[in-house]
Amino acid sequence: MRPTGRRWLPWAALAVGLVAVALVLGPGGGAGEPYDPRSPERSGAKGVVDTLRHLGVAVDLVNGAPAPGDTAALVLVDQMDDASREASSQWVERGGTLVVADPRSPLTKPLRIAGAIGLLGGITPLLHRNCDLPALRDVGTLEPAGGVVFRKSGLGVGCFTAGNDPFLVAVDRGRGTIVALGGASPFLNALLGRADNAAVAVDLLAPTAASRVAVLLPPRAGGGRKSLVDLIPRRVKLALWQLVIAFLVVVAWRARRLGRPVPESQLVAIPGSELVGAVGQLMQRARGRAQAAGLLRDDVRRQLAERLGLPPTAPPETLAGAVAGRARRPADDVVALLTGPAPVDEAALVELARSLESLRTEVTSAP
Amino acid sequence: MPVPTRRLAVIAAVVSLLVLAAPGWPGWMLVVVDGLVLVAAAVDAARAPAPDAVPVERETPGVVPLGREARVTWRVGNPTDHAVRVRLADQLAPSLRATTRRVAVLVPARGSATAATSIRPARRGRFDMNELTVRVDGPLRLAARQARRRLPATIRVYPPFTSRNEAELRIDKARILEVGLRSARGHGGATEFDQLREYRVDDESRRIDWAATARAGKAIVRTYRAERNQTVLLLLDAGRMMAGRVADVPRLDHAMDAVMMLTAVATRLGDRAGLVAFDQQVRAIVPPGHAPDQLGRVTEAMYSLEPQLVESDYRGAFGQTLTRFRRRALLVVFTELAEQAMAETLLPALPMVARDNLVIIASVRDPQVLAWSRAVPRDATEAYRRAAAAAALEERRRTIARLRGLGATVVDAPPGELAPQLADAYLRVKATGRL
Repeated sequence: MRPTGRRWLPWAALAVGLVAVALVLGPGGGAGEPYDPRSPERSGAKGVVDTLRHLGVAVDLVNGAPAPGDTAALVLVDQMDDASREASSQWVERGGTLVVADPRSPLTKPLRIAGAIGLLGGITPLLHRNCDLPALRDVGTLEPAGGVVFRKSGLGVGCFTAGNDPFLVAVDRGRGTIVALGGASPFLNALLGRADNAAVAVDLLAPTAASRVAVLLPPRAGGGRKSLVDLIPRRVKLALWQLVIAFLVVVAWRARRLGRPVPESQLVAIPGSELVGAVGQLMQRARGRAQAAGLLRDDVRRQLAERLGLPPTAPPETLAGAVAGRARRPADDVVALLTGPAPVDEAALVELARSLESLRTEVTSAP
Repeated sequence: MPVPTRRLAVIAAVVSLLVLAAPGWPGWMLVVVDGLVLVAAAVDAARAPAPDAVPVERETPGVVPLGREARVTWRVGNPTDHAVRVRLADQLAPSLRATTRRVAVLVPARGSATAATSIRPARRGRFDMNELTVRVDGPLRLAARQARRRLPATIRVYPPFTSRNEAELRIDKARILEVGLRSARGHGGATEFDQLREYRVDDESRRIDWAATARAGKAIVRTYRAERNQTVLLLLDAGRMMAGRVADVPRLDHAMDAVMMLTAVATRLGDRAGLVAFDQQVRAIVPPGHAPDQLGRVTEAMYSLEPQLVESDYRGAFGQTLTRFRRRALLVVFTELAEQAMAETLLPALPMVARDNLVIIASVRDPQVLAWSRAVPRDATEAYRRAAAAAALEERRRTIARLRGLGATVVDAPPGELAPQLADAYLRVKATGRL
């Protein structure tokens, strides 16, 4: 019989695995994604939207590119496809103001990143304006949490410098302007109330109450066009390829066996008693109760006769008489046991076998 | 073809870690590094000594009794001027139960090294080893060369002769009996005249030789000893009926133990013991003899026998035995007493040999069947099995009765008792002078 103690274990492991997969792949708890303008979380950007709307500015949350009627647009995370990015660029050419808070966005080219601000990502200094950009004349400081600064160049106007390198660069493009930020942190809910962060957002996006702002929604997790392979860093890919080579070396190493297997003929492993067991099974399958009972009775009769010094062919009555004296049983009972009818079922057969063995033991063990 | 080594695989894996740890590796640099490692491995393999040029010797025990431990030793030489790492794989069969059949040795320059493993065979028989696989690492151990070398050897695993101590007891007992005989207390006609000596108080008066007494002028008695130089032929059935296992050992192996015991006892008592092993045909014959190495000859003839799944031809075996050995003998037939097989094979052939020889039929009784026939059944399956066991034992009794009716003596004993009971039967035959 198989042990049953741990049968539940694989099913429990499967259930735990399914739950884990559901937690990983399933939707979030409704709190919103980071950089999401609909999210009230600390990492969300709902504060910017609410602030602008509170000032009477029309704010649209859009996917893709700003609409022609929009005066300004905010890109918190640039994961646009090429078409959307091209449409956004054309929208700027036509006079729009595009605030790009993702310093690695292709839209900020040809600006180059100079480095990170803050000490090892810890305390971030308060950045002062240090520029004469008209749109920002009412603000004094900006407090980002990390981010980068752009390399100082003659391109555009740089503000909020760390050292000499600006955190914010405004570049005219056609009839419009691209404002590149070294990070989106000043516009996130957690920091919007710090320093003049909110004022910077309002001045850049809605200089007048008639402005119409488009906030580009970040793509849903997994909604991009890049495959998993595209997301793997190049060095990791190289390392994986090298591991494949290492694996092939292992295969070549293990494939050449040191010494061939040694063949050996197998001995017969059948117990000598196998035939007896098989005969018993066949008798049971054929429901040979009468035959089995006969064999059991003959066996015990022979042993009793041998024990009592009687010939094997002694009549049952003679044998029963001798047995009755030795086993202190009525002779009729002994005769019935030794010569009775065939058992009606298997339980009766088992009972008969036990009774015969009991009788045999009584006689053979008697002094 | 060169074989990469574990070290080469480790190096390839380490390179992958370097790539991961140091960003900025261009792809071409990885190709160059891998190419250099590959070239180094190829050069390393080329610099490794050819496996055929590495001297290798093997020492085997030759003969190992079943269940005993022995050692196999390899000696590896190095003809080069630098140390060489050599791996060997030998053709040790799984049944030899070697601790390992693969070893690695570091052979010093112009020197040699040895490695060994222990074996404890799990079955008797002949184990031939024809070749040895040799793998030689290069100096850098990045790659190796491998080849198979022909190096024949044989390990012969003999039956364990578990009844050896019982055999010594019987021999001692028989010799004591013989001393008794020499005290002139002869047992019927079973003894032969040994010598005349002076009468002692415990001698039987009927043993007095009156003619010698008259000549010597004092009482002289005849002394007798058991007859010697009688023939004991051991006929070993190696057919299908001997394949089944009793106490987890094939019936044939139980019979072999008894053959060894009877050979030892008979030859030490001055009789000539021989062997005829057969199944459908005669497979081994050892003519009767009483040389001290007769037990070795008999063991050598039968150690590699395996039961064949065929019906044994008793008529043919008896015919060959009678043709080769015409002298009256004690024939001991080792077989299994299955009623149907006996009725078709042994019983019709037995009169051929029972007429002019003394026949003993020896068989191993299965204690499992006996236990089933005595077990108190707990369910119907056990009740039916008990009935089947009772029937099997009854058939066995009938077979024994028929064999005895044909003049044969039957020894039907459980494992471990067959050989002693058979030796006792032989000694009884000797003592009663029936042969």
